[in-house]
Amino acid sequence: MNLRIARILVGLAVGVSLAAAASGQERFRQKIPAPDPRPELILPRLESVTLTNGLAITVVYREAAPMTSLHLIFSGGEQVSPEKTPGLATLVSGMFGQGTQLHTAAEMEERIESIGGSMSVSADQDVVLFGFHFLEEYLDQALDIVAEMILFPRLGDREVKIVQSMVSAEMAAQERNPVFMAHRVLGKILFAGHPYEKFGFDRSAIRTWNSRDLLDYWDRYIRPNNTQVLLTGSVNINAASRKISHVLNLWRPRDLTPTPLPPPRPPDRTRICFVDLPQASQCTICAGTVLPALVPGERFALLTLGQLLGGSINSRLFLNLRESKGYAYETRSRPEFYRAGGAFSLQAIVRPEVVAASVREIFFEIRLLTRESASSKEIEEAKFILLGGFPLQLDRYDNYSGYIAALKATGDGEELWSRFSENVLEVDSDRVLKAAQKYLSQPFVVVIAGPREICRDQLAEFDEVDIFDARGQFLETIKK
Amino acid sequence: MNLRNSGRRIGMAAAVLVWAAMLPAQAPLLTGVSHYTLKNGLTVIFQEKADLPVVSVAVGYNAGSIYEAPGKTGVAYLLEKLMMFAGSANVSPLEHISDINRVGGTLNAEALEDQTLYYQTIPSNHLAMALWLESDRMRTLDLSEEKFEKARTDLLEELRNRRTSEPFLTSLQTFDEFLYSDFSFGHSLLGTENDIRNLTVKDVKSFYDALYVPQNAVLCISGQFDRIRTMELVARYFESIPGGKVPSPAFELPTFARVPFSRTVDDPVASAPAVFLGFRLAPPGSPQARIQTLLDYVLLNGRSTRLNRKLLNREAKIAFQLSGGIERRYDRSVYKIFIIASPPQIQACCDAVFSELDKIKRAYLSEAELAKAKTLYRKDLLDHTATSTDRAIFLIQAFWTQRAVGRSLDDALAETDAILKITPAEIIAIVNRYYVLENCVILYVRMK
Repeated sequence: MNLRIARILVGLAVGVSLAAAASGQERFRQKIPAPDPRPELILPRLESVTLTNGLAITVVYREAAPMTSLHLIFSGGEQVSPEKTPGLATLVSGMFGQGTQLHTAAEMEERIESIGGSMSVSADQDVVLFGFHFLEEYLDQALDIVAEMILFPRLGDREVKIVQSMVSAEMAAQERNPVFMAHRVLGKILFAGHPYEKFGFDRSAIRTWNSRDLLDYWDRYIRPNNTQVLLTGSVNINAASRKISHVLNLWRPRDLTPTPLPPPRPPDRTRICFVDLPQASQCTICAGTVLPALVPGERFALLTLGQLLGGSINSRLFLNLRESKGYAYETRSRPEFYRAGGAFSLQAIVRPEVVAASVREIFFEIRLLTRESASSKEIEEAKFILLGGFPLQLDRYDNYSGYIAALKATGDGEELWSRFSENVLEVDSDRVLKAAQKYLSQPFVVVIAGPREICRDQLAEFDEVDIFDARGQFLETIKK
Repeated sequence: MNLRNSGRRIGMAAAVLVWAAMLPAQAPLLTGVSHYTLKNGLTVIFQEKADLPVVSVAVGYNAGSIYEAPGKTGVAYLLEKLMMFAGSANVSPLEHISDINRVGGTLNAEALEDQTLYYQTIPSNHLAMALWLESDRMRTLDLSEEKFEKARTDLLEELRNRRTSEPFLTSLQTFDEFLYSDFSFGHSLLGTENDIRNLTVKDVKSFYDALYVPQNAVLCISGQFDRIRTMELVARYFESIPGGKVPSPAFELPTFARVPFSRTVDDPVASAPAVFLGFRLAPPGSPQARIQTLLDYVLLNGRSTRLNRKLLNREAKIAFQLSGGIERRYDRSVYKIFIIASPPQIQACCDAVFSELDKIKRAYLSEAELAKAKTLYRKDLLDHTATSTDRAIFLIQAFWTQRAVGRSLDDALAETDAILKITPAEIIAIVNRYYVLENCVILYVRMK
């Protein structure tokens, strides 16, 4: 691998110096300028307070921020959706756009836009996440709107039907996307038997949703002592908690007996799965394994590993599958962290005729990472990307607050915020090798989404392949 | 590189092009703007914001498909691809992308009808590298026959793929031909297959040599940086590049008869029937243009705006999809509306649009509705200048917009206050003048 990079670099250097010599240009043009010292990233503290009804408030002060962001993080997410109604948390998230007992949906939209606001709500494995961004002078009005949504929701059969129809249409569109399908099937297999499996619900689950279960979910989980509020803008913690308390003091807590969430278990064997998408012209390969409970510090080694394997155009998968072999259009890899464990996954979009060879190369690169230490140079380059990319992802106000909200959703805090850079800097080759040996040596599940008819010869190269239809339903297992 | 598809293009028109035309003055979000010109004619814009150690470097060339000659369509877009991937005298192919990526940065390019933009965002300590990379491709693009062939093959494949898979792309191109009516403005940025096949390296080089020169370019640096040191770096990397000439385009505005115009076309990949409506507006920079900008937030730009309510009403939805907004090409502005609906509802959608316009013409526009439109405008402005990349692109587009109509960036920087003072009567007058059937081009799209 390193030899290959070295050859490319030598080739580049020769070409460059020839061109430069020929043009008789200024000397400074011939060489890439050195960077200045790395600037300090100063981030505001996450200040927190809890109200008497159990509502936890975190405020992040941003001076002169023209937009204020308000997030509500309701713990539970899809993992607490009842077995008989998977996806119920998604229904809950849809209800925030259906108006209240006091105002219709159209009237609420009007109120939101009148304060320069926009709203988004989603559900993931662990939380229902409500995000609201508005012009800074309208904090009081924004809090009134949010309080009304929480205290006077409209949760009738009619609203359920509207959300069912919206989610169904949205999912039908997503199911035409091979990347979405490959990831959904991968998630279902990786977390089979774990509460996180419910996050991968399909369209048939939407029919099971009903207002009775919705009311029950709302009554249990949309409670102040199960909620965190995150406010990001030019407002301090005292003013924020006073204003929030003023509008949400009638929100009553409820006794919660949290069910302990077990760490997910790694797959018991390596599996190759194929989702038949007849219309697809390319094949999407997603491969992943589970990250059970993590030891402190491993996250940053895993983040570095994700960069090193497929995080950039200088990463191993990209150089192998695209630059060297010409198989892939793009590659990616990254760890994801949830409240209980997480997953490490990678993705490559390849030509159908090289699917089997691509899977072999992916496993080659994974095994190599578990056997040999990456060079310090490679590790430093991966860390450089993480360090440099971190402030970039905070540049937009909603990404800034969204990043902190995601931390809160998984129960994280300053580790991945103010101490992000120092934690990345502490990563070295040993830590990366240990993380790779611990997690990438586990069995991987590979899901390929593409046209089965065109890939028939390729599939014959694997000992065993589980075939799924275009909706992600298991069809059959084919053996060599 | 990132040529937006037809649907998004229309959807984004309000987002990008409105703001290009209308830049705020003392709006708090866009403080720290200054600009100057190098000896070789390169305009340099600074926008300082120091809260995060991030900086964006963007270069915008006054070079798009409107400068293509008949028979040479596609050259602007092809050149954008070569700028991204071909390399330059000191930068090997893909090295620009690799260098930016290696420090955690992001980059992209965008060819439009009237300008082409290249931009990257990086940690602020790598500013010199970004300036070095941009100056190298401005100075000496590596245009070998082999790279040209590769880019042309890729472009032809993209063209085939998009024409056979992207709904409404071909019908949008037909609509543009009717709406703009002259070759320069009406032809597609993607070019035609036949023209692209006949292009030569010489054609691309001529386009590059004539238009990718400092006199015809703007460099914008936005984010956290030291002004004095940055001025030194800009001088070092850009000032010795030969300035070239300012192109003097002779675009004549066609005369349009004020008569209703409608046509019907078949779209082989349309997923449902659709209709395009287009109104020719007053040019950017004019007093009417400000009013047009605000009107967009009454009509379409926002979920609670009139057309959204009328066509996508939850109780009586008559359209599947609605998008649109102001689109500006050089010195021209149009207002586009695009609607997808079921066959029996297409005409009802058109009628609904004109019915809403009629209501405004009959003086049905309250101060409260206008106040909401102004709030939406401010919010949208903040949204589209939220990142250092956004601000750099925004300032460059504003610069070119104003230049096209003989105004300066400073003129643009004085317009927000004026927009926030617009009255209902001014809106009603604009609707009566421009948003009428006699000034409207309608294209019905049938599924084939």
